[in-house]
Amino acid sequence: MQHNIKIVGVGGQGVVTAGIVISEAYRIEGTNVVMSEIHGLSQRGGSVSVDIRTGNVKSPLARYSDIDLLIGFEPLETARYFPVLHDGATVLMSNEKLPPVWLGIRNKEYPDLADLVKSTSSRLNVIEIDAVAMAYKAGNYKSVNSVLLGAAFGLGLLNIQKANFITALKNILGDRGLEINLKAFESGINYANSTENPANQGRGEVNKFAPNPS
Amino acid sequence: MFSMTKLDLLTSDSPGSLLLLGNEAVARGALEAGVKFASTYPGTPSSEVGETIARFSQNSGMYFEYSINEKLALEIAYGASISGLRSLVFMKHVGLNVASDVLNSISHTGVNAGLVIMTADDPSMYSSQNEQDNRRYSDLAHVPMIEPSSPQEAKDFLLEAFEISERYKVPVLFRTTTRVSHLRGIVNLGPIKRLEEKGKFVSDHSRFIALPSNSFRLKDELILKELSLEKESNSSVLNRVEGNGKGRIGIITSGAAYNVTADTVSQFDVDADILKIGFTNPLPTEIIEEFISSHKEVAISEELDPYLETKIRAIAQLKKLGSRIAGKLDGFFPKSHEYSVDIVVSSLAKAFDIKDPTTHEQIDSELPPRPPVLCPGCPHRATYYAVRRAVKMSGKKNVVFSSDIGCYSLGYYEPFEEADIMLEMGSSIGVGQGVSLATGQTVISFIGDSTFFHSGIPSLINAVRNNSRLILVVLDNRTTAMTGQEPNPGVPVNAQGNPTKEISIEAIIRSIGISSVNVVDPYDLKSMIHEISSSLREEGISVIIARRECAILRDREMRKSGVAKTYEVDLEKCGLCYNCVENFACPAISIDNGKVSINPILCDGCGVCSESYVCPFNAIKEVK
Repeated sequence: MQHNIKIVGVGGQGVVTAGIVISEAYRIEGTNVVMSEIHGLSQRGGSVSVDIRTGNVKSPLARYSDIDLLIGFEPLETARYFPVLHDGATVLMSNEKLPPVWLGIRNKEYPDLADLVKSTSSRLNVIEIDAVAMAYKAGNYKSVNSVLLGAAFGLGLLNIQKANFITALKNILGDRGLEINLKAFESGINYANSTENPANQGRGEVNKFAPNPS
Repeated sequence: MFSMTKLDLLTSDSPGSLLLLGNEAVARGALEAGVKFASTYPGTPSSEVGETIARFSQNSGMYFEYSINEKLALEIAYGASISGLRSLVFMKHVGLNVASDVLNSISHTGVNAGLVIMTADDPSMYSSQNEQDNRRYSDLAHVPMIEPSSPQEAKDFLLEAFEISERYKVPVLFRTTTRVSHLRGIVNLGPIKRLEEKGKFVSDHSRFIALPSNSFRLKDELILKELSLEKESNSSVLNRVEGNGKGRIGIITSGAAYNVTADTVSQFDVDADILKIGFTNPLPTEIIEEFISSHKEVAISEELDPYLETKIRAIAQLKKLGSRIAGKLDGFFPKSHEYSVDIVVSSLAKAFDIKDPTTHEQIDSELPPRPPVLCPGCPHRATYYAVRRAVKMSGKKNVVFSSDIGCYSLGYYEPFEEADIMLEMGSSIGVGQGVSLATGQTVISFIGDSTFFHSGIPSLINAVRNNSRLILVVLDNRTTAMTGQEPNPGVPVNAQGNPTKEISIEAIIRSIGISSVNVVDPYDLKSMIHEISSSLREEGISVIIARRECAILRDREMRKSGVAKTYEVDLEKCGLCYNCVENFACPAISIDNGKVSINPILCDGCGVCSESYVCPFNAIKEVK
């Protein structure tokens, strides 16, 4: 079964690492997976995006408007990619705002994305998450990617068994800080199942693991 | 940058599968091929090959070095190959331009133990100054070329490339592109080969002396090798046909274009067979002839130049094949940038009168962009800030900024805009000389430490010899930062982190007769501005070496020692001049509800923003 995932954020947030963990988990699962990472020119502070596809595919790049799941580490970067999702697809969006220097140079502030998110919600399931607060609670900021992975898993958006996901976390993150990352992963799962999650507040069922019907 | 696979897994001799980046798979392939000698100059998208080999070379009995440029990397690997050791050399596409002098000579002399030259091309230029199709080099040099499409093939085909190189005593080009080198996928491992530790050079003047008398004969031998290699290509497992052979269209493809082409065929149920070519020079003419003969309609789906297409049309003409061939030359497929499923399906639709299922409605975002930026704490930010201030204070008009290749290329962007010319490795000094001599305008050239060693030194000698007027700023961050912090000759460690001789940039510059050479810490804005200002008043050549370690390297050290400094804004003192956000442009500083705020997660603790040249109100203080 094909599944097209995109992970976006800002250099330094752990976007690529999150992609590698998901891909590794699919490998352990026995599912074919391909992933592409484009770093661009800057190392920290630039846009970063990772594409993952599973199933009978060779290229990691889905067609435009064919993404099933977008995991966003930063609201502005996430919003930028709304158009690449098909109708009914899911967006998991961390609310950590990182204003681009482009704004400061023009003496501008971070845009208010509330209206955009609201208007998009008729087409996509947008789930916002305070992943940074949960990462701190688990132990440190760096575990924010584990929170998001836990939430994506908890929402049933990834076709991976939990044990395999945890093995992937161990394989990729190594022993250093593993305990914190596992805690962060669990807190992401808990959030997905909690009433804080808007998806569980009668705002409509999250379209679980839904590839493009077309 | 993301060579993350655990070392014990990557170097394990037991069977199994790993999730590997294409470049990691090449490094693993080197182990399986029994490579004893590897060299490179780092360049994206090839960098992770070196990063990975650097991690295991010492324990695997493999010699590996970061050479100062690609020409040297190839010469060194060639020396090892003719001495009997399997050698791998790798570089980005433009690196092969630098090494092409070597390539076009060693193609004649041939090699002994296998020599494979990996070139990582960059269609769509994600991290390059140009888009060039290095498949052309295999024709120019008359050497065989292999093109993998996936991490698995990157490993497996490398082994085959070494076999071919050794069998025909010829260097083999191994061409990847960004979407292969930076594709991560599942790779089944093979056994690790252990070969001779030490080589032995046996003199053979008939081969290794490239004098006209020898080369005249060697050229004919090379042409004969090409004929045998064509037979090899015809029976090679690297070329294969997919499909039942009865498809309406026959599509010929290779490399990353194969991936999107195969996905197009399966996603849209295109009635097609695919001929995937992995041995792209010499082409398997017999296989192609048969494939074309069995399809009335043929498409050639390849990225960049019509490389396969030109040759395939020639084959069709020579063999008098009547099938219709569609490609770039008749305008159906694009000639630039990487391909996608959307591009391939649209091109096929145009060529074969099929309904185009793509809508082409790409929505333009009105959201603020996030152009590439220098990292928080980057010493180059301080340098560019200081240079801008000094130039402004001098009142000089028409100052020309000649920049170069590295992280500091980002000085082109706002708010610094300190690049009027930027071309290729080492060009800042040479092009700057030309502009200075032609116009008499003040020229400030920027060059990084690694780029200075790569190709800046001869240009500076030329500037001295020809009485040029030039201000040179060496942005010495004590690493090759952009490609992943590889060490360069300016630091006392080698690729494996072992101690080695450090080469002094200032000693080199002084030794060629430049007396105005000052080493300044760019974090010290006052001294930087002072030195640049003096240089602007000088005649002749003056050099400022802005020396401060790359922030990413420093962070790694600080994380180990557990020290983390951050800064904050004292809102009572802040005069709301916004100079820090508008002109210093650190990603950690932004405006939030009209107030200046520093993100403690992003703040690197460099403290440059707290200096009075950035914050005249002294409102930025270290968090205690």
